[in-house]
Amino acid sequence: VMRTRILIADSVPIFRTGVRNLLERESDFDIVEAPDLAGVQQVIGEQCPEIALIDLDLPPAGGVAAVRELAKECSTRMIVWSFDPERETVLSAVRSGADGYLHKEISPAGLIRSLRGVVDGEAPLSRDLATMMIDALHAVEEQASARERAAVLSAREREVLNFVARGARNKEIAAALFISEFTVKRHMQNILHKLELPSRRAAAAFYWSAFGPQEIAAAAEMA
Amino acid sequence: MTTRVTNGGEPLVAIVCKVPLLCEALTSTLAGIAEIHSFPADLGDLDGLLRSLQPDAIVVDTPESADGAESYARASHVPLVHVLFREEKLRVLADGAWSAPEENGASPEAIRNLIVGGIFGRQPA
Repeated sequence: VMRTRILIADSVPIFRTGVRNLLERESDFDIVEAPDLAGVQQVIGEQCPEIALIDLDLPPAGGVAAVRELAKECSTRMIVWSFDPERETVLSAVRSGADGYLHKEISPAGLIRSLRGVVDGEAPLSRDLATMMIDALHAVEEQASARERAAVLSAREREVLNFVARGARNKEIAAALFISEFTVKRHMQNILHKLELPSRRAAAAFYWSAFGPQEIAAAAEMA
Repeated sequence: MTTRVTNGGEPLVAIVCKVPLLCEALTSTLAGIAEIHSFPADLGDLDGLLRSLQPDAIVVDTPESADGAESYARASHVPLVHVLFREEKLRVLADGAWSAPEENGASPEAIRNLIVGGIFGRQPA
């Protein structure tokens, strides 16, 4: 029987022991463990495992950062796993070089099936995570397209729109930017015209879809 | 508490888990110490299940299961261990009160020690 070397990289001993116990009953797996990135690097330095199961919260910088590091050093197939994976996390892991993503609540049979699938060249991803990832890709595309549209705005118009996206009134925007309310209104008219949007509310929604909460907050801090 | 010995001569530990790998981890750690019966966390009527099974110790991994098992654990004076994965901590209901063990982390050995202490440990004089 060809044996597959599996690295379990997880800081929680229960998971390392659980996976080890499970896989040791099978005849086709060899298991090595690491509690953190340093341990992973040591294992990989000695001998590249075929598959690494990496905890999203792997110390010190998390599983996604670990995947990014390891992708440079080794041809190991990397699977990230966690509780309650979020859309952006799954996408970020895959973009960083992960070959799949699993729930930590996976059944023992499901985990074995997934690992054997990886050996056969499959990418382990449960249906809900696959759907989540497709949604995330669509969201990224929509954001890119919205950003392209936003490029027609002048720097000042973007500033005004940032305030609008945060719910500011014209009077408040005027005070913050040291311009008249009339000028703010003119900027708003231009914004709606350039973006072909019907209302101030639509413009705010557009801005959120293009730049998201983090960039909007960052821009607000700089203002 | 009266320790109920199974046919195999070992006390019975019920593991009610949302994370099946918890059972995998505890199976080897409790080998030779206790007999394990594991159940998925979403079974419903956990109290009824435990009253039928009459385990000597219980391990759970969700707050809901901890709530569901608490009544049986209090009435039967058996240790109830709650594994908090995200916090990497344990808490245990023993002698009628919840407490966090001094031993850090949520390792299988720490869980084993709590169970063994709860089942076999000497009672204070």
